[in-house]
Amino acid sequence: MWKDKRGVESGYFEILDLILIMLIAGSFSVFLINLNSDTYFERDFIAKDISLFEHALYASPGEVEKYEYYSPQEIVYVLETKRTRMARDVIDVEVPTKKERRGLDLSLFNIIFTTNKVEVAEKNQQNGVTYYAYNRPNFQDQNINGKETFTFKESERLEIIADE
Amino acid sequence: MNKLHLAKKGQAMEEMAHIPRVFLLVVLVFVIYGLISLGIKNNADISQAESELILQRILYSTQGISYYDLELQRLYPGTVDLNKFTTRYLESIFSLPNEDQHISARIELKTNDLEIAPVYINEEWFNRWLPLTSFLGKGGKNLATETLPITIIKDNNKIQGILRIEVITPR
Repeated sequence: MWKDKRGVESGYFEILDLILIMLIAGSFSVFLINLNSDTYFERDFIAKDISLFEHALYASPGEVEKYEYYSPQEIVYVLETKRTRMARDVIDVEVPTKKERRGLDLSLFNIIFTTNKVEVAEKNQQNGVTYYAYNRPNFQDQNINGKETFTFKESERLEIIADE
Repeated sequence: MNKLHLAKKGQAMEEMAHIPRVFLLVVLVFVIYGLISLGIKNNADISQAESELILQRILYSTQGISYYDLELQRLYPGTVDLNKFTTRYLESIFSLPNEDQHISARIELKTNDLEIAPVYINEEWFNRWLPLTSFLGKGGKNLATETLPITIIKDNNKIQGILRIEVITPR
């Protein structure tokens, strides 16, 4: 491509190096973007949490009339420092200006309950993350699609009711 | 002319020197990817909590081995109904699928008056996994054990005994 004073051609491998660097940087970027948007951990957490919860309900020494299941969330208040007057002094006070909800959002997922498995999948996803469940034989399979909360009830058998 | 000929040979050596560079680059990419993947944990380990809950379910559930009075609808913790103390009944508590390889348990009752054989959930896998409970890490198994004094109810008779439950779950 290019020739220096001695007539030695060069430039091919530098271009190849550039292409390689762009490929590697591009693939790492795609990997990180996929990692950020992946919900495997959330689905795995919900499946295992529900499985443990079903064990806990069955382990109760009596009936459970109603237990509302909701995703663990925390409310975070963002504080800002504002100058305000109190008596004759001007002081700095931290005031909440913004409220954010952080945590899992159950309404993003579809949850499938069967006698032996709990499966949590994203909407429009066929196969999700499954975990073991050990429900009794009289358990009826149930699907909860895109709900923020749902209710468990355990008397003669375990029931799961989607909240409207 | 001679200079050009030599220059071409020098260029060929330069080209060959790039091959190990590309190979090293590929190796480095895989090493970096591996290091990043090692730092990412996308699995929650609940084996310890699960084995404790299964133990609680065997002991304190209305369908468990504790004595449950149907008329009063009351469970008596600390008592064991000997009629329920069979492998078949225990496995029906959990509705195990065929060839389940996730939970296993052994329950032993010791009394001075009676000899009672231990009962199991998934006996085959319990015996296989028991030696693995002393290993740490992913290949090891979690063992939850509970030993408590209980009252055994047999044909309306009460006998004192010791109950030992061992539950094994994989990590």
